[in-house]
Amino acid sequence: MTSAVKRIGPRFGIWAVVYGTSASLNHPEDPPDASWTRNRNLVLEAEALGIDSVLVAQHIVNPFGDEFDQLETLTSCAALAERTEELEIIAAIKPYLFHPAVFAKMALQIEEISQGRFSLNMRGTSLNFGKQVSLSRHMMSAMSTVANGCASSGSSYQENGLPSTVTISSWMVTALNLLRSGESVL
Amino acid sequence: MIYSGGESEAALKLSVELCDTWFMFGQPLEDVARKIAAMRRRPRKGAPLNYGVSAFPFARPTQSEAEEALAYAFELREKDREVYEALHKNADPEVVTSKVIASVPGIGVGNGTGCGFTGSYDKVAQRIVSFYNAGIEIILLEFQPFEREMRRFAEEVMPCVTRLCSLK
Repeated sequence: MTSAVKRIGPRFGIWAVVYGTSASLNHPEDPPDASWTRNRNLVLEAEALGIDSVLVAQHIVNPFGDEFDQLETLTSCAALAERTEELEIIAAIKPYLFHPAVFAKMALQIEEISQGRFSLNMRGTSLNFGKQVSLSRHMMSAMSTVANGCASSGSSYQENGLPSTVTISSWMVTALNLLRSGESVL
Repeated sequence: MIYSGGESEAALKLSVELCDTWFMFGQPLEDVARKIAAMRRRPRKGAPLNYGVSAFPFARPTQSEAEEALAYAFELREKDREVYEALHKNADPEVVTSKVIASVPGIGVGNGTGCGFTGSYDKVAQRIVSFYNAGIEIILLEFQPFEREMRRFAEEVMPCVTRLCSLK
């Protein structure tokens, strides 16, 4: 979190327009635009206006339909981290879209790029498989293992009472199948 | 900083045990205050949990202009009905947070209109301060048109909030 001097009162953040503005797909002055350029300009203006944080939600496809664009979360957070100076960048994370070790490393990299302004929002989801909150808990444990430099192989997850790599793989296969069949709101 | 969200028992436990801030979807002040009070009663190690909420403000020079803007937003949303119905059909009906949202149907990915930040600049600022006084430390905003209304909010409402908070 940024250590900049704060106004009195609540902090204000904005939702990045990762699928375009979420309110209506039919607003004549704000049609769906999830492009990087639009998001970057929006966030840079927010920072200039004194907004404290941006939350970048995580979807791999646009839940409103395949015809719509979708901003990717972590790559965009990395780019925002480089372009902004004070804003807190919050990535809303759906558990196990990445292996926790890979994810933890990417998160630590964005934390370094942003010089300490990167945060995570651990989500359950509306996704129709698995127990997402348990997954978030597992993922956080696995990530802290990585952050502590202890994660060396997949098997350590099971030793720690975390899901085995086989379990993780089966979740990933389920997720991929859902994506392929177009039945997921991932 | 680790945030979390969701209103299932599992999500609440995760938030209290491992996170720094718990985000809520947009909902009325009384619900937010009650849920914060319940979370504060849970045992927790370390610094107190912080709280956040999603909001979709309609702040305009006058109350009636704000209400018109909100009505227009709901009217536009009606045109998306089919898309939203398909979206909800793909989601798990047992997700607790979705049930909370369904009880206060609103606009925006965070169901932000549930907070009722609709009115003149002063009134919206007062509503925000009442959420702040109830324990809300961060408000996640959405607008439409996003850029124009974010600008207006930052220029007209945020200074009011700062002023009201410094008066206390």
